Amino acid sequence: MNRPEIEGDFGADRSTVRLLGWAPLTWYLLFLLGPLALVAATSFATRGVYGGIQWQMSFESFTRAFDPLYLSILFKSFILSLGTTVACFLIGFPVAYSMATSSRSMRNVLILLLAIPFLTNLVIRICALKALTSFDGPLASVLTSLGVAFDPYLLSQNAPLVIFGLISTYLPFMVFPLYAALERFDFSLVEAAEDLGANFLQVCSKVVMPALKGAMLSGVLLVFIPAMGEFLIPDLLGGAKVMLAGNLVSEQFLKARDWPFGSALSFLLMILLGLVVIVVRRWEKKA
Amino acid sequence: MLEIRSIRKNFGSQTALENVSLTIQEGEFFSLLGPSGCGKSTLLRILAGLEEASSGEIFWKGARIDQKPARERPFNMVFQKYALFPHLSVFENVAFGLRLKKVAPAEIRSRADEALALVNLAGFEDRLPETLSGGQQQRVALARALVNRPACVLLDEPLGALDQKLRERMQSDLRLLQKRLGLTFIFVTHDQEEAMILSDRIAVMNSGQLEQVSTPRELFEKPQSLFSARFVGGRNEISGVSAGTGPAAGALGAAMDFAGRRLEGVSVCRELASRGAGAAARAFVRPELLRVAGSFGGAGLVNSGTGVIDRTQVNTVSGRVQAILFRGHKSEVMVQLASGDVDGAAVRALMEPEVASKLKVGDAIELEFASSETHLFWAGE
Repeated sequence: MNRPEIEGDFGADRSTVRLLGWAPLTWYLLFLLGPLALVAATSFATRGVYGGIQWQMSFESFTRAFDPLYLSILFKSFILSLGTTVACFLIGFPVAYSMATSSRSMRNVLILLLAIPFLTNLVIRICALKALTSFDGPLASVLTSLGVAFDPYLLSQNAPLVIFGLISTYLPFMVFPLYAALERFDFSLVEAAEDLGANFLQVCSKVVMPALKGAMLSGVLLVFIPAMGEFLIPDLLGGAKVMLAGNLVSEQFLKARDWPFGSALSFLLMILLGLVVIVVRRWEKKA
Repeated sequence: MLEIRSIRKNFGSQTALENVSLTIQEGEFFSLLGPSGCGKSTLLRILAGLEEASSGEIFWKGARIDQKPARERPFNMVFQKYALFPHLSVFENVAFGLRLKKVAPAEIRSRADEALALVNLAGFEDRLPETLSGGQQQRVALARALVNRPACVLLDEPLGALDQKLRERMQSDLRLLQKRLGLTFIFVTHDQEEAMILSDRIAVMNSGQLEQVSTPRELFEKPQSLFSARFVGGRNEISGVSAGTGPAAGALGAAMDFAGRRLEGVSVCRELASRGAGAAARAFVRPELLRVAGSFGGAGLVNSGTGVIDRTQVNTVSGRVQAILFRGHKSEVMVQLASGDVDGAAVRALMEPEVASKLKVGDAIELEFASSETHLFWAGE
């Protein structure tokens, strides 16, 4: 498709426009790359006896990060984030599909419903979920009054609840890009494919998926990356039972007061996520 | 032979098609003609299997097909906005159906090439649809349907998005192609001229029902309802009062009173017959059939036996020339009728420029037209 070309000046000469562009860029360099550089520097430092940073060059934090104990946490996080992403897609696709194919007025209602969770802070939402499922919470009392026999402590502080929290938090990030793509999607292509002999699966793989590939990958990255770094949800909903990469990092800073190790871990996490992005983009170009 | 038996389609409480029955012959170019919302596209989509009929049956060569999904029907569709797969090249678009049918690659290659050559698109194989013009995309869509060798090609206003010049070229191309391949084409259009040019037969549709199914010529000369008369070709309507039908109403079996004159004509309109004299009636005549009184010499009115014009076979109306419009090989004379309630305020007569040049705006004029070419209808409530 032809992109409209921007022509002419906008009442200002190019150098002024360029100058305007420099301001946010400087801001970005200063306050994003600056702290990142600080993290990088810290990761090579040594932990002080009382938790401070001693500027003494060391690779100890990195070698420690490759301890099987920490690698298994990283691996578990990876699997959990992957599961969250897949679940978000499986749930999100039908949601986005029905949104895109509903009437215009219904569509606005559905978008609003999907946006409502964002009106409340994440911490409050997760705390509400925690309260709902706690051993003396509403869910437990309802089950008790219905006469269902259960162990009240099984309701809360467990891995399935963490997964539920992750899915419900990140679902909109999968739905919105898919919805945007489906809304633009020409559904007569589905009819054309059916008319030419395609069954349901062939329609999906040969017509719908190619059109949605970009949106799908955006959704995957939007869900997978923050899920990988998530520490609040596993902390509140999983208690001490679920330790993920995000928790591990935050604990180094807040509890263990081992900033160099925390920095090294976050750096490794960043590299891992960077690799994921590269792999996904490669795949997007190739397919 | 495609047989459509009492197809009905409801969308909620709306009736889109009501009891439509049709038989379409193999090798026929058949058009479904009607205004938007008349159900013509819905009928086509039901034939394709993209929409399910609420009731009724469809048979192809005696076998019932309306319960089969679209992919199992021997029909292929050309969509209004082409619906080409944007991520596939022209060649892959055309090959799409064959690949699904697991045709051998060598055969896919030769058949797709053949189909593209048929629509004059050889050399465009590797292009993406978005890089093609509307007319080229249209032809890719046609090739994509034809390559599957369908028993029947369904076309949903395929020329609607093209400009006039391209449209005319595509019309003749389409007709030639259809005759050459001997395929059945079912063509949906709201353009009466297009339907007339292309079709072997036309079904005129109005609010979910068939108004008339006939050849283009029959449709033009013998419209069976006011709707199909209005929908096809230019028109003049004169409103009057029915003077009854049957032998008493004249040789042609129907008559109408207008401004103190009696206009005789043909009527196939059941309502006009059943309501009898006094009902609101409308006389319908084509602009090209009106002549200045006394100037008649055409074969149509000369009594074939004697060579003498039979005055009883001519209707006359009088009025004043309102405007004369030059239209190339014909001139259009607009005449305000002397009295009476006239639809569209004036009648239009197409005549030879020499005849029209003798007229001036404001002249009193008497127009005549053959009773046999006057159609009388009930004017409705």
